[in-house]
Amino acid sequence: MSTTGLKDYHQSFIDDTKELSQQVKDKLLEQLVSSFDLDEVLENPAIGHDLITEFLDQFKNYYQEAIKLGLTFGDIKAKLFTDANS
Amino acid sequence: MPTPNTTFDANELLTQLEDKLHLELDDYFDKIRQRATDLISQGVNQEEIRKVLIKDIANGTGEFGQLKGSIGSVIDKGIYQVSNLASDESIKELSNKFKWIWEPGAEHCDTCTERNGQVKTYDEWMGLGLPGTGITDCTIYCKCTLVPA
Repeated sequence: MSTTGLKDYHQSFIDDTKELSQQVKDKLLEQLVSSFDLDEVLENPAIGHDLITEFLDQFKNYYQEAIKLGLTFGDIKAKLFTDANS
Repeated sequence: MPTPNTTFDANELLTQLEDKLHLELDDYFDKIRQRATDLISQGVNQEEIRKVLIKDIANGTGEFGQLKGSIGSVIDKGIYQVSNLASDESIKELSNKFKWIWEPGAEHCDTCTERNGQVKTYDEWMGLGLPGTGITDCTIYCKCTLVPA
C-alpha cells in the first residue's frame, strides 16, 4: 500500500483525537471540580468515588466517539489499500 | 449510544481506567490527610487548613492539582488508546502483513524510529505493542499507525 495520500488523513485523525481528548478534559474535568465539595467527600469518601463513577458514565459517550474516530480512519486506510490493489 | 462494531474489548479498557481513577482518588485522600496532619503539628488550625485545601480545589493546585492531572492523563490514555486500537483492529483482516509508519511531520521516539517501515503480521505487531498502546517511548501519544503491506 502506498502511503502517499494517507498523510493528510493520518494528521486529521491525530488532530481529531487530540481535540476530543481536550474537549473531555475541558468539560468533564471542570464538571468534576465544580462538584467536588471537600467537606462532603472527607466526611464520606464514598461520595467522592460516586463522583468518579458519574464522571466515567459520561466519559463513556466520548469513549464511543474515540472508537468511531478510529474506525473512520481504519475505513480510510482500507479504501486506500483497496484502491492501490485494484 | 450504540457501541460500534469492534473486535477488541473496549469495556475492559474502560474498567481499567475506572479502577485507576478510584485509586487516584484514594491517593488524594491519603495525601491531604497527611498534609493536614503535618500542618496541625505545626500549629495551624483546622479552619485554615480547610481554606487552603478548598483553594487548591478551586485553583487546581496542590494535591488536588495532582489529582486533576492524573484524571487528565487517564482521559488522554483512554481516548488515544481506544481510537488507535479501533483504527488498527478494523484493518487487521485486510492483509497478512502490516507496515508500521510514522506521521511524517511529528517528532519520533527511539522505538518508532526503529519500527518505522518494518513489516510484520498483525499478531506480531500486537505482541510487540501496537501504536498508541503505551509500549513505545512516546507512550500513548504515539503518532504512528499500521497500514496493510
